[in-house]
Amino acid sequence: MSYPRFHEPNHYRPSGPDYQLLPFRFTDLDGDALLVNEAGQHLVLPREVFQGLVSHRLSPDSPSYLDLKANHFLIDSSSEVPLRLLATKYRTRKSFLSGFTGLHIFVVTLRCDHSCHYCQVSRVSQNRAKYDMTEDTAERALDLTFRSPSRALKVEFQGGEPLLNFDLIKFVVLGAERRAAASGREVQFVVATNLAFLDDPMLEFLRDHHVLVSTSMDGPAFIHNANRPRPGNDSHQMTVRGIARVREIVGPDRVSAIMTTSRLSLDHPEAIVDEYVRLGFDHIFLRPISPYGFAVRTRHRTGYEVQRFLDFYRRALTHVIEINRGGQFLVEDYASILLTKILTPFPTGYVDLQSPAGAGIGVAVYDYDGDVYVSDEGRMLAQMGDKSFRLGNVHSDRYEELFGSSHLRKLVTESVVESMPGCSECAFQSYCGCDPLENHATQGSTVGHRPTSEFHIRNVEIIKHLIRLYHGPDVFAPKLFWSWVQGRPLQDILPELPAH
Amino acid sequence: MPSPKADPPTAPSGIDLRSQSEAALELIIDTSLYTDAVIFKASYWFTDRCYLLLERQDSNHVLVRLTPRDLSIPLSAIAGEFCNELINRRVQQLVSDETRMIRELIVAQAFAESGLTDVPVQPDSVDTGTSQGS
Repeated sequence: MSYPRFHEPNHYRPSGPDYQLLPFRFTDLDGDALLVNEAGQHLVLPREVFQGLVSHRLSPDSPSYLDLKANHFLIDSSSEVPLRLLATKYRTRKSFLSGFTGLHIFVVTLRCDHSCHYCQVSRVSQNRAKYDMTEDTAERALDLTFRSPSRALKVEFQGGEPLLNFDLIKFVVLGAERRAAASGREVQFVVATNLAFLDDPMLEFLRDHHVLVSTSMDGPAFIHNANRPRPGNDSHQMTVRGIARVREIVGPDRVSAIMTTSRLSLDHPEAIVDEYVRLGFDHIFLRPISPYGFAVRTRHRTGYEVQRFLDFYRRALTHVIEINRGGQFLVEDYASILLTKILTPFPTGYVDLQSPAGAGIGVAVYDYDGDVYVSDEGRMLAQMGDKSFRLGNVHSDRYEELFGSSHLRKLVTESVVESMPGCSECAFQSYCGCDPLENHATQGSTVGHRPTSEFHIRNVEIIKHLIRLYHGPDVFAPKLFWSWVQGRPLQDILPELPAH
Repeated sequence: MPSPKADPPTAPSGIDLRSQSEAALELIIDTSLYTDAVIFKASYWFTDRCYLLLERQDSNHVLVRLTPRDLSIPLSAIAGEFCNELINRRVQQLVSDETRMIRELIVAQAFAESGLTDVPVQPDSVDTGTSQGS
């Protein structure tokens, strides 16, 4: 019996240049070239090495050659095309698409006792009947929530101040639990509250039904109370007391906090970070002010230029790193999200940094009156009179009409960074995303204009800053960043640190 | 994105610094070196600082007129940055052209395999051959 004879594998390799480039994008990083490939892996190269690479003059003896080869920026005659590996990483980065809408926000009331300068929504202090969500509306919103194909749903309660309509929160939680049990799905609950109206029965319900608590903490009392006025000017005191009560009754790890950067905050990054440490938090999320709702109307008091926020952010992050160096574990959440995208292929679940954008396909908002929006920002714009991002109403529209509408399809199509002007060749495409609502609110179109986009400037500069720190002279920074990404205690990585 | 550091406006090969008044700058670009797509992509990143007009001169040349929005911005800096940006965009185009087929294969394979329902934990680095890679 004879067998066909084949040549050795090298016989089938194409002839030509010694190496072949694999897909990547690049940008300038302080005179060096920063390269990011299709799977999101990055390398920093001296400019002359980069020029040698792209002109096919790079010697295999160059110290950078093996790095480029190992990280899939080139292949040569001794390597295999890592097509499946790159495809797997690419698919992993896009795996968030499979769940469709996972986050469902219920605006249970517009009533609120606070009158925050930067608040993104209108608030009312009276007329319970007019501004509270009804059980009928909540029931219909729950039906829509459980039409989503997502296996892991998150229901978040927003306001106004949602605790002012706690009976409806209970109604939704119990209804969602029943539906989840019947359909074999997971459902997680979060209530976003200023904690001022917490009482023991509420705390016991939150504990018994595993409801996470998210509150606002803007820093020391003089900043927090200035940002978040309420009768008695005691918001900070009420929040601190509420945090303690949640930890005591619901659980020590059941409350988290987010901060919003006002104009007043800009001069006090260290004090804000220190306040989080003093209050026992191991996470802080440094957020810029959103260009929506009440924040726009009070812009003269709250607004600032993106460069001022970047200065604030860099100072605050430096302080966070120093606190960790001293042995106190503290994560800056925005950096952690970006670093997860920079250092791993895994999706973060953060809908503001994905392509296509998460509006409508990652998150849906059911307003107190049953109107459905693609995001909380869409609801805020509606309150300013712009209903561009209203999908319909739970009482009049079916699931297919709301989430399969041409309106939503257009929004998704226009938020794919791989095809957006200024983004399609951006080195940071794998790490960033787009916010069509912010583009619409600040630039007049969902596609937007990248050279003047604060979203673009802010993210590019923060990503560059993180990459500089990762490759910089401080060897502590990359170790800390990996501990954030892996969710491992710092002591596991740096055992010599004092334990806290 | 344009580098913040500006080089002096020495016109590189393929670019002719035709005129420089106090208010505007005109460059003649050789389209055999810089395609229309490259010229437009470079121009886009100057729309925050300049008003731009692109005008075809003949089959091989395009005129780019840059008028700064803010007259305090020196034209020489803008000229230097624009020339560098043309080169950046041209190199990106070269890399993109050279790797287009592999990129399309990666994306096609990513979405073809197992739909979108599985998030693999241990990627498989199995050889798939080099016929598409070189």
